[in-house]
Amino acid sequence: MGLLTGLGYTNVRHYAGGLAEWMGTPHAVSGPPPDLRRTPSDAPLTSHGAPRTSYDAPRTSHRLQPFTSARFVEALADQTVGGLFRLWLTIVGVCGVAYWCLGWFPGHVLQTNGAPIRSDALGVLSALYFSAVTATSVGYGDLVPLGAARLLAIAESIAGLVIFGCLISKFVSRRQEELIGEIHRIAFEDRLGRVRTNLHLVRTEVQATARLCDGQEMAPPVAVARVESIAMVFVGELLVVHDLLYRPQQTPDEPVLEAILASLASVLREFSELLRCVADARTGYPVTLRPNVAAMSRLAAEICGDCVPRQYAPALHNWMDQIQRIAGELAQI
Amino acid sequence: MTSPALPTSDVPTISREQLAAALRARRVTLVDVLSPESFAAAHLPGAINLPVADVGRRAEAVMPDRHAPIVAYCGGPT
Repeated sequence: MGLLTGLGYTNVRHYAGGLAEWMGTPHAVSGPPPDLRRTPSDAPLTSHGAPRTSYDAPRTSHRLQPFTSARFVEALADQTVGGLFRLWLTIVGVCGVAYWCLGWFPGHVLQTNGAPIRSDALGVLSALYFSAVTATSVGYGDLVPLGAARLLAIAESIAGLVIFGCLISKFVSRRQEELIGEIHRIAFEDRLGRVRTNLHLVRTEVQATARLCDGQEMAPPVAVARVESIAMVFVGELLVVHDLLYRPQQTPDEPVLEAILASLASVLREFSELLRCVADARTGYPVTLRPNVAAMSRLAAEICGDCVPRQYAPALHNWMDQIQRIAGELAQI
Repeated sequence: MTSPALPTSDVPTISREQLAAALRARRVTLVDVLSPESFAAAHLPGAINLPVADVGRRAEAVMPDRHAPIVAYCGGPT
């Protein structure tokens, strides 16, 4: 950030809490920022398969988006079932009292069989009854609004319908959300298992390839090709582990995570030795290998005890710091 | 070991609430200085990605207005 001010930017601030704080307390902000993608856990972060913003699209000129009806419906959908029901009841109650109050102005009354409703307590009940009949869009027609009461009746029936619709969809989606949660959990565990298996496979392959390199002046082409494919798989696994540490919605148990980090550290070490054999003293890594190695060292450099958003046990810290150290050596070749 | 963030003693900070308000009002450019991979996995809404290593090279292209309000962030509390 100091870099930015050094470049002449005058109005730079630093959000010290970073990704960790932002994701850690999703409910501290009332109402999510407008362009937020909804994730199952409702955490305010966008998550994509690929970076969304292209580098040449500066976001300095933001358009103000109007408060659309879609966003209104979304705000309703954020309510709980109980909240929606209370809102609906409130609308029925408030409108009922409003119909009754409108009775004071001639021409805007509710009338039944041509006569306005009574202005006493019974009249309030009639008005509430009419309100409920309107909000449910039943409309028996035994009470008839006139004048401004008609406008109110239309507004109420629209609001009542929308809220009722949200309420029903909430009931239906509850079961779905449970199912989705279960699917997420299974997928997560599957992913953990796969990372461990893949790390093991990578290590076996690294060791086999290292034998090809042994005692050779220059790495044979077949070894380089194998290193390339290993690097590709390994970057994928590294990304998964990086994801595990940086995305706190789902975190594995510490022993599992420790096993993964330990095996990652040892694979990374063996791999960096293998890379040394493939690299040329003058020209560095073969061109085809460079992007993957760069991605590898960049990802691994972000795995360290102090830079991941969450606090872990000292043993895990240790492994993470080791990974970062090896990444530093990797970048220097 | 330090995080990928840079020393920030001379840069004013912004709290989560202030940032959320500024984002809602769309008054700031939010910059994620982590790696593209990390950015792809998770980032704050509306953030643009400018890895620390690329700041010198690409800042000009990404943020042409040197006096526009900018907020930068990284992985965690520094």
